[in-house]
Formats: sequence, structure tokens, C-alpha cells
Amino acid sequence: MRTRRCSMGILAVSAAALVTLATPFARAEMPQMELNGNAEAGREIALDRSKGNCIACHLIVGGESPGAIGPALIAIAPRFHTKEAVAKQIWDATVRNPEAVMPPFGKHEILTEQEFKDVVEFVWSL
Amino acid sequence: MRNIITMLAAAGVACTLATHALAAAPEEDKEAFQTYFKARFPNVPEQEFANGAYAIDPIGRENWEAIEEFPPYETAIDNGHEMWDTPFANGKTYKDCFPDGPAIENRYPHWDKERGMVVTLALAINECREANGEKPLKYRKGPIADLLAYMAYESRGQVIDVVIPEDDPRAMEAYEKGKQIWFARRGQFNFSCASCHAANSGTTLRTEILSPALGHTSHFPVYRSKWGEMGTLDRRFAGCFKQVRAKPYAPQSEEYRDLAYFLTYMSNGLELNGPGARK
Amino acid sequence: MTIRRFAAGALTAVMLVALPMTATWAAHRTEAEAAIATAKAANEKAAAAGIDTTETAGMIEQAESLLPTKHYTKAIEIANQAQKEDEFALSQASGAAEGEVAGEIANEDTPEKVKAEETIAAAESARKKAASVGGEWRDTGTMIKSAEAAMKTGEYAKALELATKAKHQGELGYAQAMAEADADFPSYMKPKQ
Repeated sequence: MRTRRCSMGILAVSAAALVTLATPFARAEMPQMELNGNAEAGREIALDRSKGNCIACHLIVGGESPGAIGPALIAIAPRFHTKEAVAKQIWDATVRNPEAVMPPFGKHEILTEQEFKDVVEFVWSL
Repeated sequence: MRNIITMLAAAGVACTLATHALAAAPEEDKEAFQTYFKARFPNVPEQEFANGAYAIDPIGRENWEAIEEFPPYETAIDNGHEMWDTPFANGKTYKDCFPDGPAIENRYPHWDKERGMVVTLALAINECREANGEKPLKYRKGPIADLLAYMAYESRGQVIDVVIPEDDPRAMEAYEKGKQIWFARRGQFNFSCASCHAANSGTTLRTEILSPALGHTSHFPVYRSKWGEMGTLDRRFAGCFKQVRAKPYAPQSEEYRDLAYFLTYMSNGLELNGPGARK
Repeated sequence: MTIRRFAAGALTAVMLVALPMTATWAAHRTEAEAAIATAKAANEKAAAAGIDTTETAGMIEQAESLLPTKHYTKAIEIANQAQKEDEFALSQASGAAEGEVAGEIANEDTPEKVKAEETIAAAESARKKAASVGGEWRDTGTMIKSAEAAMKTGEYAKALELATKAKHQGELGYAQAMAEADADFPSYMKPKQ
């Protein structure tokens, strides 16, 4: 016995799967890119309310009035090990944790590709 | 390919399990909802949740209590009272639509079996106006907020008691739709209502404390310092949607009425305390 | 005598501040009026060349209506857009009239123009699809409108960029809504079953 809601759910799951397969533009996966951004520019973006606004949720040393929703952005290298891992997290945090609250800055094109690279460089340096 | 099959299988299994729980779901949902927030904020007495962030932020509360000595929504209540007393062009008044008087907020939102839809007080007000040859009011702010403020004030202390009639499965559907809307991620920022108001309630977004969702609907309409004026639940829904970079649904759309139905149900047991003042 | 010198000095100081201040404020209004005048001139020229200038004329009227309320920046923006649109339309028309001039083919659908148009159509379609499942994002509609405005001023590359972004938003919004169709209590809030 399946309720209509469940049928909808299954339809949705298969539809989502088909969408992911069919559309050439399926950016759940971070595309190949050279992570050669500018850390200083990345810092600006991280503190800018209309851009990354990372400080809204994360403590960033030197930033004012940080939020306390996400972990502090310190000791990044020992936690993530590679710059690529940091990039993937910023691209779409729900890959690592489906219940993550952090917006998918790369996948949802919140940042441009250059801005993304710059932020990755900055965060990796913390 | 294998992934799809696994997903479908998982969905199938999950559905079979879920159907058993579906019948008694709302009460259990409400218990889980309220238990979650009471556990997250163990020092907050139940009724205090109706005061939102001021139940958990001592400094904010001090400022708020000072503001409440000369409430910024008083003018709205007075204006609303005048609207209530003023006859329409055809000589009738709001009392003809609402014979039990203005203290009826806890009857809304409710499921209208005849029309098969959720009816909110705001919708009922405009239907009253249109039935009497008057133009409907805009839903997000302005005169409707004044009238709602008056009716909310007269209804203070009433216990929220939204009912989902068991003899109409469409009511359950509306409740479920509202629930889905509340928990669904949306907008470019991919936030759901739960992202901020459950998972991160009590934490700070920059310096703003995120209010817990328990008690969210109790104090509307609300005077928000940010707006410098009154606003309704529709206004707040639209604002939240825009903040997560989603396009808001239309005021009093089926989506927002279903959402209000679910969200108000989650606060069953709390006392109405509108109109409210917030940052 | 010292008082008079002081007064003269003070007066000069005040004028040094006040005159530029009033000049700045007056410049805003003058700037807006100048932008509108230039737009009107372009509008007349385009109309004289037989171009349908109803829309741009309306925009100029809108810009003028913003002057009494001092919305100078907005007025300048609208007037400039109208001017650019009329100038572009005129350039397209005169290009066609002159025929083959130095290899330039005006008023024809260049591949760049066609691609931009197609992408705008695709973006609008994606936006509607997202809207149909309640998943439209906040800025998609505005982006499409900006892309359309860029088409009218011949800025095809800009139009293409905006339309591409908008198309992605529509696609992502649709996928998001479909993925969230079964959204329910998360693991940390699970009701007892």
C-alpha cells in the first residue's frame, strides 16, 4: 500500500536521477579546474556580505562580528588535508554531509569561478 | 544505472515503512517538534517560546521589554479597532461576518471542508470585504495588519489549537504539503526553514540570534523595527524566501496557507500573544 | 579689524564647502536632465528614421517622472538605457540602408545575436519549469529582463552571459525542488514511529 505522497517521492527520486543523467549541465560534481586563486582577493570575498559572506556563519580571524553557525575557519590544512578537499567542500558541502546547512557556493553559482578559486586559496591558507 | 535502482529500492522500502506512521503523524510530529526545542533550550518555560529570540537572548530581551512599555503596535491596534467599528458602504460591519466578535484568532487557520482548503484569518477578512462590496486589502502590510493587530490583541491568551479533521484526507494532505514546504531546501542558498530555525536556532548569523520555530506564529502581525511598521505572516514568509534567494509564493497562495497550517499546528498548546514587537 | 578678517576667512571657508556641496547636488539634477535631453534627442532621431520608439519614449517619460522625487540616479539609468536602445536601433537601420559598407552587415542575425536570443528563450523556459514545481529562485526573472535589455542595445555578449546564468538558475531550481519533494523531519528531529 503506497500513498500518493510516496509515489510522488519515488517519481521525484527517479526524476531527479534522470535529470542528473540527462542534462549536460549537471554540476553536482565540481568540474576540473586549476586551484590557483588569489588569497587576498579571497579574503575580501569571504568578508563581503554580498559575496561569500563566510563571516556570517564562520569565525575568521581579523573579521568583525562573526556568526557561530559553522566551525571557526582555522587549522584548515590539518582538518582537510588537501586544497582540493577544501574546494569540494565550498563547492557543495552537502556531498560530505547531506544535512549540511552551508550553501553550495560553487554548484549554485553564488560565486563566479574566479571568486570561487580566490576563496578556496584564502580558506586553504587559514 | 545501478544508482537509480538502489535509490528506487530504498525509496520503496522507506515508503512501505512510512505508510504505517502516516495515519497518526501530526500529533507525533508535533511532539517531536516541541520536544526538540525544549531539549535544545531546557531553561525556557513552554509558554515563553512565544517570545521567540527574546526567550533565549537576555540582552535582546531587556531591550524588548523596554520597547513593550510603549508598544510600537498600539497605533495599529487602535486603527484596527476603528476599522472593525466602521461600517462598509452597504451598512454592514465586520461583525456581520464574524458574529462572535474580534476575539477569534484561535479559530484560524482551519480546514474548510466545503471548499477543500485552508482558511486563514487574513483570507477570511478579505472574503468578508468582497462579500460586502469592498475592495480586498493587500496581504503583507497596511490596513489588514492593523485589523489583524486588533483581533490578535483581543485574542491574547487563547490557546493555539489547530485541528486536522480526521474525516477529510485532504486536510492531512494540506498539512503534509505545509510540512514539506517548511523542511524543503530552496533558493540559491539552499536553505530550508529548518536550516536556520531548527538546526541553528539560538546560534548567531553574524550578530543576529536565530529564533526557534516553536512559537513562530503566535505573535503575528508583528511590528518589526527593521520594517519600521507592521507586517503580517505573509510578509515575513516573503522576506525569508527572498533572504535565501528564493522567489516568494504569492500572499495567501495555497502554499503559504498550507505552510501556516503546518507551522501553527506545531505550536499547538502555546498561547496567542499578538500583536508582537520584534527587531 | 581682526574680527572682520576672521569673518572674511570664515565666509570663504563656508563658501568653499557650501558651493561645491550645492554644486554637487545641483550636478545630480543637471546630470539627470542632461541624460534625459540626450535621450530625447536620440529618440527623435530614431523616430525620424522610421523606427518604432514607443517603448523608449515611455522610458524617457518614466525618467522624467522621477525628477520631482529626486531619484536622479535611477532617472539617469533609465534615460541612458533608452538612449542606447534608440542609438542601436538607428545604427542597425542606417547600416541596412547603406548596404554593404566595409563588409559590415547590419540588421542581420549574426551568430552572436542568434545565440543570445536562443539562450534567453531557453532561460525563460527553464525559469518557468522551476516555477511549475515551486522552485524558482529570486533573481532569475530579473536576470532574464537584464539580458533582454542588453539585446536592445546590441550588447549580445552581455546578454548571452546573463541568459546563461539565468538558465542555470532555472535548471538548478528545478532539480532542487524535485530533490526536495519528500522533505520531512531531519534525523535530528525524527518523530517516534
